Amino acid sequence: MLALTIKEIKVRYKRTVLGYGWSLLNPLAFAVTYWIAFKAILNVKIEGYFIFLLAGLFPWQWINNSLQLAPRAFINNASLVKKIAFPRYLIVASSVVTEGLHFLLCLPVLAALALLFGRGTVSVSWLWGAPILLVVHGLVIYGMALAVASCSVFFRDLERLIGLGMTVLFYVTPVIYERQMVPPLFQPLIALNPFTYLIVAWRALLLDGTMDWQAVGVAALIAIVAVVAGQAIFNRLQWKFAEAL
Amino acid sequence: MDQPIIEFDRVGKSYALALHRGGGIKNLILNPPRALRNMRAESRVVLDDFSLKVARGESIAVIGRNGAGKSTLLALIAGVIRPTTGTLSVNGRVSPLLELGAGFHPELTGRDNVMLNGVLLGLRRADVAARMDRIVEFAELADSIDEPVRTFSTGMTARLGFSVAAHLDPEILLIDEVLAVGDAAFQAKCIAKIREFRSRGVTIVFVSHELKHVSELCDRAVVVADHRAAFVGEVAAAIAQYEAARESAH
Repeated sequence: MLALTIKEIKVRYKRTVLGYGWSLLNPLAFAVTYWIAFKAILNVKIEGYFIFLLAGLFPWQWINNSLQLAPRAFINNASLVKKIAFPRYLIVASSVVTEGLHFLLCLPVLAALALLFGRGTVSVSWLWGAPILLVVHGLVIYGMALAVASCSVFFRDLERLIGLGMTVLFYVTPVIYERQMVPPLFQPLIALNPFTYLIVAWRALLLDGTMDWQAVGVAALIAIVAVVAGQAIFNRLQWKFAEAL
Repeated sequence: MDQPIIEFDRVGKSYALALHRGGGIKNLILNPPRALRNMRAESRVVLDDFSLKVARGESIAVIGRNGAGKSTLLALIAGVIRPTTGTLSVNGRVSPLLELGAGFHPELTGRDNVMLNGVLLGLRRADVAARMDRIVEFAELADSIDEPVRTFSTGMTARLGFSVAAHLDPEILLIDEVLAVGDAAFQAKCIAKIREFRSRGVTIVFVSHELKHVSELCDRAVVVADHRAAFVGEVAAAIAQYEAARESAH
């Protein structure tokens, strides 16, 4: 597991200059863009919108990157999967953990910016809240990524579908707006989106230093379903990987 | 003979062909019943009713024509695929030497790849680190081990691959055509190493078209033909049988 994660990180940044800086730069660039579009131009009524955006974009990036990488998880490691018998779900797990580490490294930056802009609090509750959320978040993504990775060995179209789906989902998740702002007609849509609860919970913790236990509870349930389902799909399909790759 | 270390009991293996063709999701959505039926119906039989026992410490050669199922046999032993029917038991740590260096990542250095491969093959990090020097020395790569593997020549990659597999203290060593690469000197070194394994009681399953190496290195041979173990026995007899079958096919 450790070895695979190290490999993942080394490979990722082998030929880039900025390395981990990219996982910081990406959400920052988006935050600036959205801030201009929605605050400066459309004038949304959310206070400290820039920090608000970042508190949603950092966790979203973890979700997005992990799921976008998932379709190629087994395909890119075809030579390992075909030649060596080892617990293959570790490939997906290490990719989710790698993205999680990136997310973790973004938190100090968020804290610094929060202090700078005077929005949000750097609270002691982060110390026990963040680990709980990290685990729940990681499990939700792991379960989904495992299912996606397993299926895409057989249906390569899944990669395109995920790319499209994540773009759509981004706007159905309260990242650039607050959940309460959504009109009643669309509330069920937001409620059905499993990522809603993760983003809402992170934001409550990162901006207000509180745990939104309701959101965390729902997210935990989703985590259980995702892991059980993902593992079941993986178990069913994994013996065909070496043949289909 | 006590309990065999590898035992195939009436093993059958067939591959679903639709999986390779890959109609994608489109087919599945447009015509789900047919797409699913295709997936189950079309398959190619590679092994059928294949039985074989390999005793601990034995070295056995697998010979057969291209596509006879030799590599499938090794993949089954390595545990990357499972039999469709029948049972297969493998009672020991397997070190696969399939297509040398296949598990290497081109962007990582030789050293990183050795670590990764070693860990994936079931060793702890400390164990691999302890063997690192011997692995590098055997592969004769002291100068370039910290370069990315993509800069290695085929021969260098093969040497490193062999060296990793050879230093993992396997109980079962799977060798697939590896001696085809590398220069004569390294081939000789590999053969010496395989001999050493034999004398230490490591079980070896050896696939090669080099019948010379087969007769040099193996106690027994199995001829794979018509999806079955067509012949199991002495190497010389197996080679004779195999060549006779090849002649008559022409």
